[in-house]
Amino acid sequence: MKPRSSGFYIGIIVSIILGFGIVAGIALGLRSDAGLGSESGVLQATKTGPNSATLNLATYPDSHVCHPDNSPEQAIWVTYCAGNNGVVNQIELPPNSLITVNISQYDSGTALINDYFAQVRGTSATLDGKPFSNISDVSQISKTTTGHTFSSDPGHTFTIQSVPDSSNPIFVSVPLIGVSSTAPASVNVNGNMYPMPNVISFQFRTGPAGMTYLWHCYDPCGDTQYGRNPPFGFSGPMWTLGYMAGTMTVTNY
Amino acid sequence: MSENVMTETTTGAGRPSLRQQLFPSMVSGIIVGVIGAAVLGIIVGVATQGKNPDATVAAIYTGWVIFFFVGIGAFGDVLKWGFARREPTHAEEQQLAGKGGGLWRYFRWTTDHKVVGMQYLATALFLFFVGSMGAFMIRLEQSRPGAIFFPPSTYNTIVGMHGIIMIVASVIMVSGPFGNFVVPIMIGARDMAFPRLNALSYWLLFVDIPIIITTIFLGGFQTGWTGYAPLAVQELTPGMDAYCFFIIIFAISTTVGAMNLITTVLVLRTRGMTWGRLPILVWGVLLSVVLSLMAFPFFMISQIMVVMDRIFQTSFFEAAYGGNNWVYEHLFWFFGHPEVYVILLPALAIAAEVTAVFSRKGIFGRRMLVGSLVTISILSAIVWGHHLYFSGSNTPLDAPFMLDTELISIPTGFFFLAMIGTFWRGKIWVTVPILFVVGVLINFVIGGITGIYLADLPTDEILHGGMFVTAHFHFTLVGTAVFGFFAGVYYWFPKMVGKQLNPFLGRLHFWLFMIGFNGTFLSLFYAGLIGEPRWSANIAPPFVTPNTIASLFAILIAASVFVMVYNVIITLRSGEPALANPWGGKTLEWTVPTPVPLENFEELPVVTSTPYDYGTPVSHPSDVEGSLEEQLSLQPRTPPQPQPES
Amino acid sequence: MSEANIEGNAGSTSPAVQEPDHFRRVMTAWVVFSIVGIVIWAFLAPVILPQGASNLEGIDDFTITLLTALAIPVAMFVFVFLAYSLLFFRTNDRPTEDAVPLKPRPGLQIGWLGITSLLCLFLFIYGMVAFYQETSAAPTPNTLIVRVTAQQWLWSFDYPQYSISSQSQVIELPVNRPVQFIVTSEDVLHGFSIRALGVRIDANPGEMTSTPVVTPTAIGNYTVNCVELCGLLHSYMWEAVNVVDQSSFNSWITSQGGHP
Repeated sequence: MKPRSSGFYIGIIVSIILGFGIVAGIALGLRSDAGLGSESGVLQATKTGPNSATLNLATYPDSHVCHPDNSPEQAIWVTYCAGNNGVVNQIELPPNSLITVNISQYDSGTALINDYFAQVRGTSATLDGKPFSNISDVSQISKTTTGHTFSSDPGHTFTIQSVPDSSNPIFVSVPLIGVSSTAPASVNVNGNMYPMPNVISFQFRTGPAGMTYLWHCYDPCGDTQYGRNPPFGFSGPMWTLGYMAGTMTVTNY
Repeated sequence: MSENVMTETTTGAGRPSLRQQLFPSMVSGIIVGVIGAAVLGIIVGVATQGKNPDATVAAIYTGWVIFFFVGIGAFGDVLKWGFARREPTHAEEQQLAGKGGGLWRYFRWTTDHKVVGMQYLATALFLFFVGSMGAFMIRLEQSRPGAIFFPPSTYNTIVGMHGIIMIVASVIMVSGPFGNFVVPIMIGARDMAFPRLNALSYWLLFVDIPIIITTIFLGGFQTGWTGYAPLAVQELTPGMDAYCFFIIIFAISTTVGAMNLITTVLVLRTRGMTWGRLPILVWGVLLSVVLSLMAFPFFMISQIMVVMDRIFQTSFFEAAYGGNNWVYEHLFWFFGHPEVYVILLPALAIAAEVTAVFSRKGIFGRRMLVGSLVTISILSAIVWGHHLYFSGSNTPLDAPFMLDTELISIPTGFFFLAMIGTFWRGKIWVTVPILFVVGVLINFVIGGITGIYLADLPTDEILHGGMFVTAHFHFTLVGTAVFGFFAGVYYWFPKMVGKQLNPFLGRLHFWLFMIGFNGTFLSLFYAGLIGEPRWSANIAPPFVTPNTIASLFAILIAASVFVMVYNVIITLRSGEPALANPWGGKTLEWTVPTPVPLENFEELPVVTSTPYDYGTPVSHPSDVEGSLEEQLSLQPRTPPQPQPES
Repeated sequence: MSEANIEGNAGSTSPAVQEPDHFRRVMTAWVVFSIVGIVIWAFLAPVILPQGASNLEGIDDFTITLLTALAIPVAMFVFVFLAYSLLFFRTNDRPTEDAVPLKPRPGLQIGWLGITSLLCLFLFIYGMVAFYQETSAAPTPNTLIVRVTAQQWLWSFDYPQYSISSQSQVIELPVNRPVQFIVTSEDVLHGFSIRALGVRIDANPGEMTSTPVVTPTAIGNYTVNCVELCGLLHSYMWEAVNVVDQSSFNSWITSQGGHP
């Protein structure tokens, strides 16, 4: 075996370290590419008591409010946001609480492809004396502001599902009744004009801390070219985090 | 490497100027290609008013490919000789083959099969490196539960890119470098049958690589490497088109290369090189490209149909408008199954070649081995239905597909018999190539046996679509085929590059790779047995432990990749020049000097026996020792005079 | 091919040394390792394979156990011969002379062909019989029918015989009653798979596919997951399968709004 300089062995170590550096660099580069999958900030539900909290969300027919600096292709993507602005990809909720969710729905309706989602599922307790569980007449749960109009179809659904093998599964699905497509644009949100929203409220309970859930919309929407034709437009905004899907974590804060 | 180039005999013209070397070359090809892509993209984008991003992207890729070939001077031949209606002179052909071209000839439209072989080797190693980066991302994400490092959409794109880049790399890894460089010399030819098509097949691959890289900037694709419709049709972002075009161009490249190789082996064998004396590598490569000629058109057409569904809103695969996704599955897997044998056969052939040389013994049951390779090829064309057992399509055909899938185990068993018989009572010289062959055999046993589990209907019922499948195909494609490729790299590197790769680093590479690979994928077999599905961005709690162990072992695989890169770099920079026949091989490529002269042989050799007639005492003094000067002399030696046939 | 007809003391460097009977040694090693391997597998198999919960899954698990037990001698054959060759036939440096080729033995090749063919035939027949046993049961009026609708990225379940749909991400099944799943998809390909019950079938848009009739045999909580890549949340597409006794099943049906 011919004698080798120590430089030879140092070279081996250096190339391995350099190699892992390249791996790390590629990982960071891919993570920062927003086009592949967007990450965003955290929205915490507002605590209203030791065991209750309120979550206010809005759904918009485009992303002007939530992603103001989007490209024109992505500007038409429907988005869920917190209140009037702020992207909500990751929602945090307190444990063992009754969560009241108010969603301001600015978007018009599109027929569901799977009737399963026409029913309210998994909600609990009552609001204003009305029982909410398993109500099949969706319009009963709409609490609207004056001057509302609504279509017979949901604009979206707000569906919370459990991650695999969760020890405390939650399943909540609420159809969000759509605004009529002929409603006039009369509300100004951050400089964008929308029709009067339908505000839908419901409640559900969280379990112990440390659990993660997913929330997602199950009513495929979008314009006729990409959204409605089979295979039913679960593309684009419907499968990019930060628009109509995200995570929900139960944690102490 | 430049000193090897300078010793080539050149007469007449001196070194061309830099301008002559740059234009036309890869550089001008890229420039013209980018311009052409932009022009076509703008034209189509304006014509469709930006409403059909898939069409714009398709136009960009088409412009890139066509104008790259304009820029690299590929069409120059058509103009010079096609329209002028004359044959090129011998001097012009030598010019095209890169005579006196220096290092730049590797970056130009060069027809010399040795140059094309080196280009393929560099590209294959590059693709493996990029693909393995994807693999490390995957193992990073799968090391902890939850989608923590990457969002699931990014993860799906990484999985898809890792898969398709590795598949393409392993299809070309043996037929490209060794099929081009070694096979023509092995059969005693001066070049391939169609030298210009040879350059075309390589540059089509080169031009293809930026296409798949651009998917990262177009939103990625979510279907994994199989590109299943209707998911492939559903994508809003045009990243999926990158995948489709990658396949379409690659299919053209392999078809061109396949035609070239088949014609070369059929027609250009030297005198005395009968079919019965053909080295096993040539058989392996030939069978592989015949299979690919049959299979790749189906891959190509499936992607063309997906592209048509995306751009022109046809509905081949959309049920609501009369299409059917089973059509895609059948088209894809009719290609997909022979394709893995396209990958496997040449690597098994390398294993057989290397074993004979390093056991100093003829291949045991050589004719049986060739027969088994032929049988595997034929059978592989009729087994695709085992990927569709649980698709719901054609369930009455499940039984016949199970039968012929399990039948493949019989010729595979013959391969093992031949290998064991060659090792048995040989004089085994344990070098890096033979280490990789041992790895091939061990991994192939595991890979082949687990294939039976998947072929059998009652077990596939609980294993289909799970990590067991992933571990099985990694054992066969990586553990067998890629290990065979590396055996070939360490074996033929002295002949192709003129320097021998450092054996210490080679052994380190082998052990890190072998231990890391087995640790990773044996853990994933277990994960699959307990039910983990494939393509899991999110690892569910029951599967965390085997995945974490697999990711830890993958660190060893990563280290082995970097060790190999280091080995290649220091060998190229400061390796010692190699002997013309450092291993004592008997195939024809070891009888020509290193570096190999432009036309390979001064006089075409006449062959009188197979290259496996070991069993005679030392047949040629310079096989054992020989001065460096003797080995480096440009005078080719005739093959040893064999005993009369008994 | 010139082959010397040498046997016996092939490869010996000194004629006076008695050459060990390599073949007998390696065959002994093979038998020993195979037996040890099979014994180890016999202890490992119940630990590694998850507990089955249906008649089908029992057959599938048993097939895996049997195939592995058969595979161990096959694998050991290659490993032992390879290891033996590398240990005893290696040269320390580059060899100075060639090895002597083995005598051609057509009997060995034919025998090998025969044994591998028999093994292959056995595997095929066993697989066919096992699969026929699993899939030949036809649905009877007693069979529970569950309609599964897959969409990105949720399963929804209907029980048409009770006119209900499952209100949450749960399939509830009564123990010891045959059940058949009829599966379709709303959008793209999904793979419906319940590992513990041993059923798996793709969900295709525009088509109805069905699993074989399966009878859950053990009460417990299992999972259904998706095994065909379907986009962003493919790996989150899991739901629960609860196998309960008949009375719990009936109360569940009532709670979902149906009549048992």
